[in-house]
Amino acid sequence: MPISLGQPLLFLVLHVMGTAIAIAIGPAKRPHLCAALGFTTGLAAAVVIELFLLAIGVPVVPLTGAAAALAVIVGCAIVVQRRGGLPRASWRVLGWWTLGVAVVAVAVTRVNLAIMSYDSHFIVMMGGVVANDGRFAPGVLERLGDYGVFTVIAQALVRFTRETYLWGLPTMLAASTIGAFAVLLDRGLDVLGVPARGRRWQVALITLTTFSAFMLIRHAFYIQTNLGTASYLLIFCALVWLAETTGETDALPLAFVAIVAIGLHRIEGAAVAVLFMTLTLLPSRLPRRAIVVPLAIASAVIAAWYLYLARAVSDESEFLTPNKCYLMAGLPLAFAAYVAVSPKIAPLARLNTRAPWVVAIAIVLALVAGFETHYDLMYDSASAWLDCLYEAKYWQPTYLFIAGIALAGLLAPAPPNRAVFVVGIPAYFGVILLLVLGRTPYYFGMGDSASRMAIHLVPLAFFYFGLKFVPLVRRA
Amino acid sequence: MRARDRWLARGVIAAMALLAGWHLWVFDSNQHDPDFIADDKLDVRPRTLSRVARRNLMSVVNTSFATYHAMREMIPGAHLLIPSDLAAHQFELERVGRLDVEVAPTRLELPRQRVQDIFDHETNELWAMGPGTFTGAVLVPGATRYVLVWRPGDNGLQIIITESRYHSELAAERNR
Repeated sequence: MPISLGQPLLFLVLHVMGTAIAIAIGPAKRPHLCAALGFTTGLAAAVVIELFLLAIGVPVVPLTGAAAALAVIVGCAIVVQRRGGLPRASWRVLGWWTLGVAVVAVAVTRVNLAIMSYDSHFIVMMGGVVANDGRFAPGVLERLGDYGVFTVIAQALVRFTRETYLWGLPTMLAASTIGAFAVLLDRGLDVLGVPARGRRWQVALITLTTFSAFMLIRHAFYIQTNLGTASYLLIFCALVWLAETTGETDALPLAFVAIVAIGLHRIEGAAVAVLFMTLTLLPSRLPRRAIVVPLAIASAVIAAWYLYLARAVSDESEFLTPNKCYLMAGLPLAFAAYVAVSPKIAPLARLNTRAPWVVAIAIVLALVAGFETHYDLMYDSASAWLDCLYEAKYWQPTYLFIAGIALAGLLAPAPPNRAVFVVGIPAYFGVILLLVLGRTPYYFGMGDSASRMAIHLVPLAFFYFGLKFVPLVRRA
Repeated sequence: MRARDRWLARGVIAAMALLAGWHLWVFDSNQHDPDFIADDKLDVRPRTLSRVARRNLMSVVNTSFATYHAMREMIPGAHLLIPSDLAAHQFELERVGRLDVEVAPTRLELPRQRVQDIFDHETNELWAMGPGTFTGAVLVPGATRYVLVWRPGDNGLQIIITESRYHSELAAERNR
């Protein structure tokens, strides 16, 4: 019997699968957190499983897809059962979340509000091709070098529905990102000692402020790679910050699921993943064994994809050439090896504690070198990008506010382990600017790559502002 | 020091409330501001990919991409003979359009006026293989073999007719 779901049921299956994974490998004692990360984790897992099946030549058809999803859910259930199962209260929480996700999934798939550009159409088209063929047919791989593979493979899940494309996917991802943001911020403020009564409305306000930014609303309906990157980047940074601040490592595996998703989302994703892992994992005081194994697995998954892709992409490609694929594969592998070895070498271990400074200095030097060698390209791109962020109607006044609050924040005490935010956000800005050295200049416009990439940092910035200022509100 | 921090934090939270209001105002203006083109506005769109592609403002999307999707809907699995000039479309026609594509070594042409007549009077689907072109399709229920035909010296107008029709047109032309 052919399996054909509607979009809401597909999204619900992803949520259930992701929640099962989060409970099995993540913080099972925090069901709200597991459920809030359920959809994003399930989507990432589905993409990785589908990529694996495609790469080893197993046809991705409804039967194999359903079998894989069932195997994951049953496997997770067995793991949880062996640990003694879940308390009744947790089941109740998970049940309410599942009901909530079902309602949201139905609500966001009533009418098609999806915004589509050329990129969106190309992504959807390639996703449809993979879905129809159930494999990487000749010519498909070489066309995947211009975009990250994550959204293409996510769109290929259309195979399990009656739709021609998953127009509800970005909206569902946005809704789950909003939930994840609120729960992560609430947990972060709890860790910082803010009482539940006072923090809930502030969490709600900060969540509303963040996700009502026009560019984030737009990307909640726009089939692209940016909202996903923003979502998984927030999840990674927030989970690692929570682990570092509380010393609890049970959520770290989910952070590495997010890192895989970041690495596969965009063609520079592996470099961005390594940037944020450098800021968080190198100076970390967490036990090495909690980091090294999941890091090795995540790095291997990212590297495997880029090595696989390197066989097909063209030397003449404007974006990913074979050499760039090897670089994207080598970066996470080299980083994982360094993380495993460096603590045993005293000078490197000392250097690791200063990783945020090293990153900041390296980015500044790279920017100076970039301006020195390609002044016109860098200047024109920086100028157009700043105009986008500070003058264009679609960004204004979000980044003016972020810049203003960041400056005001210099006067206030900061939360612990802040480097991932205070260095990570400006460093990523630098990286975005440096990326132009390998492409055509950025331009003034809503569709420009840099203007879109700026949304990657908005949830992260507001999350940090929440951690920084909410604990001060009631402090006497 | 602590009192200053508290008032600063309260100011930031208040500013966030104002920013949320401003965000919602910008969002509202998206629906009627001329700065935002139709593709960027939130609007209810068709659920079918071919129709969404056809409405897109980018020419490659509303021509080539829309045509691939439409072919998949209208003549899935059909055999289509295309001239070598259109070989660049072969991958998309095969994998997106789900057609069985054969590339002919030469241009496939019929007399200029004959192509124009068929385009004007018999076309039942209007597609476009690319920006600046019109492709009139004369689809016949049950037919599985089609040919894409051009006018001599003109890339702008094409017709897709059944293979049997193409051969009969050629034969008629030879007999004339």
